[in-house]
Amino acid sequence: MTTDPFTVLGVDENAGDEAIKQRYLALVRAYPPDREPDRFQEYRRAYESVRGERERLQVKLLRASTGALSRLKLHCLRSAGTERRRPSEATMAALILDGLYQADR
Amino acid sequence: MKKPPPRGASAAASPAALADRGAEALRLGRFKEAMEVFKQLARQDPRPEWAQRLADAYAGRAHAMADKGMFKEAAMVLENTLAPDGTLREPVLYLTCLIRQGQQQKARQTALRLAGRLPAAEAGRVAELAAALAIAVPARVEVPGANPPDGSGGIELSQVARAALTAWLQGKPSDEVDQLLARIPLRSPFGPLRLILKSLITPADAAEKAISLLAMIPAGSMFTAARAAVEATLADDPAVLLARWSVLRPAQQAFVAETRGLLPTATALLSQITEAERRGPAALFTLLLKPGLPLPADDLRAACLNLLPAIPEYLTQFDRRFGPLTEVERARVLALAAESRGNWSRAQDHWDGVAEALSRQQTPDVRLSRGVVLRHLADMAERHPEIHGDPWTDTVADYLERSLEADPDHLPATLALIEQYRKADSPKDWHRATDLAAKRFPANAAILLHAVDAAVARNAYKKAVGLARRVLTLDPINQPVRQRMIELQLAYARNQMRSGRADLAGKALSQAAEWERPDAPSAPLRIDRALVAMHGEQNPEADASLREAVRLAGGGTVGWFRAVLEAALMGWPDQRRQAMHRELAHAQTGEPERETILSLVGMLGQKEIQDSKRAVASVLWRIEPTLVGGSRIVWSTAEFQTIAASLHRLGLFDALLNYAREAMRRDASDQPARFYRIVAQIKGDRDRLTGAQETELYDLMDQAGSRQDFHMLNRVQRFLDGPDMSPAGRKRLAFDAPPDNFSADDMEELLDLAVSNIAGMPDKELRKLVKEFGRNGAIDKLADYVADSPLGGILSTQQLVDLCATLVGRVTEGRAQQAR
Repeated sequence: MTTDPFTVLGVDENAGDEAIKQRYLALVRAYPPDREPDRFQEYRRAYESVRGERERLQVKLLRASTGALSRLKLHCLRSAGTERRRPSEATMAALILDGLYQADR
Repeated sequence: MKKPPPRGASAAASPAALADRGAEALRLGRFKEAMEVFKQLARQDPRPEWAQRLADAYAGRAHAMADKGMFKEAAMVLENTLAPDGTLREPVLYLTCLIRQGQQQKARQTALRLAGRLPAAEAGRVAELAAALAIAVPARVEVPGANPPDGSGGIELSQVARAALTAWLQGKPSDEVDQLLARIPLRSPFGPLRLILKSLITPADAAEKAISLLAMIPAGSMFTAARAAVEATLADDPAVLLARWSVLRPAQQAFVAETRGLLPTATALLSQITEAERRGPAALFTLLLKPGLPLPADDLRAACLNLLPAIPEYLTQFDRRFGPLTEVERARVLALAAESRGNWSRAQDHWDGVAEALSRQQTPDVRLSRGVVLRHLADMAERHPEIHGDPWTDTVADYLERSLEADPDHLPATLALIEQYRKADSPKDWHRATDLAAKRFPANAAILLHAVDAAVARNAYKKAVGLARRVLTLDPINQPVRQRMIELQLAYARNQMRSGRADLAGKALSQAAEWERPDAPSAPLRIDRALVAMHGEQNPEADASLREAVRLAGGGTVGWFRAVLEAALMGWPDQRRQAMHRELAHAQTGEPERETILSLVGMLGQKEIQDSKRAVASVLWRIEPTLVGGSRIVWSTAEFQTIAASLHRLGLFDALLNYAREAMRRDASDQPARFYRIVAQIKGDRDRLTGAQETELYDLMDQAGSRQDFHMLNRVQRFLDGPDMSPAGRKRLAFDAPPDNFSADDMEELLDLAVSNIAGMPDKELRKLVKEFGRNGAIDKLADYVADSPLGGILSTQQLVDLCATLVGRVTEGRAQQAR
């Protein structure tokens, strides 16, 4: 998973303390520590590193951040619509065959 | 050059030798050789064992070939292992080789045929493979009698599974798909497909349920790849999708892209980005620089900007594509680049440039940014002393001060600055920083605690008490501040006792008792109160209190030594301490225990004890037998070093020699023991070092350096170099020779100035120093004093020492002459 804390939390780099906090709390509600310990730790680490203005400046100034690159990739993953679609039969067959190719590993 | 003969079986070798060679070849993965050997053995002696080993060799060879992509050859090799019952070795590998060659139909038919003949575990996998093939590649003609091992009517089940998948692919209503799925038993080879399709028709708001369905597909299933692709499809968090996408193979990515409606051009671009990222920052940068990429311009620029620290040589290309970098951006990029190369001096220069550029704007966020950069510089200076600036400046403190100018509300930097001044023994700066901090953070217990210490150091006791009360208002339990105030009052009480004012001592101790927590009584305080009560006349109650307090202090040797020590600190004459001395002597019968030694060493390491050298020295000999006895205990390295350092500091060289010898008896190469043996032999006086001893010390340093034991290295170095003459250690070490541009006349003039500066110090003060600290200690103290003056930066270390030795010699020789 990306290590850029803004991307991990899914917040803009210019978001303020309150927005970041609300987003973090939402993630913790969705992935509580007893059910998703690893994810919770990841979110917590990210939150601790950007919870205040100084911390955010520290991330932006002192690290070569990968946030922008992550945003570029996410841009590519934007859907053409909101509904789930169906793959073609050929794609489905290729997926299953791909699984079989890995079967002996 | 003649080709060496192929490694194969030799006709002349015995069966035993061949068997050994074959086994060795198998073990080392030389499967071709193993095949030849076991073929020969099987010809010579058709034992089932050789057929089995030959089959092992074929299997190994087939795996090796498949790893190289030689699927046709691998399948042919495995066909050599065909048994009379129609089974063969590595059936799953064989079938995947057929699939990879495009022979899916043959693979499916073979799988169906094999499934009923294999052992259960293998049969299950093969059946699942056959099921997956049935889904991916429908049979042209169904094989009659080809049932999966569970006897559930293989062809019908296969048709139901295909129907369910087709219904989903065609977008039929979920109910319709669900009805078909209900006819597929979960335990059948098509079970995983049922779970996959079920998760895909689960409503989007029940994502958790969908994920839990997928979790039921076991690892190692033939449908694992499909499971991973579906999990990515269902990911609602874009960051999770991105993370999963990067580890998916193309077939899986294609599924996710189509199911989520991702744009083909965009997913192609994403694949290019991922591939370029894998190749390195230069490749990624070159890709992102391409004109016309359908990506947000700001993020493109930011992504490229953050690649530059890894590839600073591409700065020009960046400027051409996105326009020139700002001064801050350029300096930041170069600073990060220098850091990544471990060039800390260069990094410092560039970060200084960033801070300078930021100083030209005074908006709040720019000031905060400047604070971040300056704190980073302070941290760098702390970790990399080689970047320190001129020898007159404490670089770390300087950066911290400047960071607080930019960002005065940063508490950790404030605390760090106070600690820095304290560590550097700069009392004026320490007090100034603490006072400022207490004003800025009036409700912070950590800051107030520093303020208490600073007030105590300035002898501002009333102020210290006021600050301590404030700390306890904020934090009623705060043990450190309670401890400080108790120690303060104890020190005052001891002074008063020495001055014959038991009444004032008693009052101070009563005040100290106010700081005690009921659940954490202070043993020294209780001892002192008992001693004050015992002052003058016999007082049985006070005697009982003393015994109780001694028990509180640990009892036995430790407790009675504490009592004896406190009595010495209070100036009790020797004859009055006889009863305690007897108790102490009595407590020391028998071999000392580990805890006793550690407690004594810990007690003697306490600051207020260390500061009272004379009182300690007067009673220390009374526990020397115990300390010496402790040398026979087997200590860990850390424990030994702690004890030895204490004995060294206390001047107990006989005991120290015992410890070193015992440690070396157990391990002659024990380096700390070797070091302390030398220290003990020369009684801590470097001037007594023999050539051999000095050589051994340098050897110890070399050995410590090569195993990166910097603790040991520094310890020996410090001993050889002698005491550091300056209050701010590092700045003095950086300056060991007078400036080059000073002429001999300049030096003489400066020396005269230095002498007159110090020569104004009354002889009485100099004698007091000698009496308190001894000759060498007095020279040290005097050198500190001069080093702190403006002249301290001009004289070299050796000149300082020589000068101070001359002045101290003046009073000691004068006394000698008077005595004569």
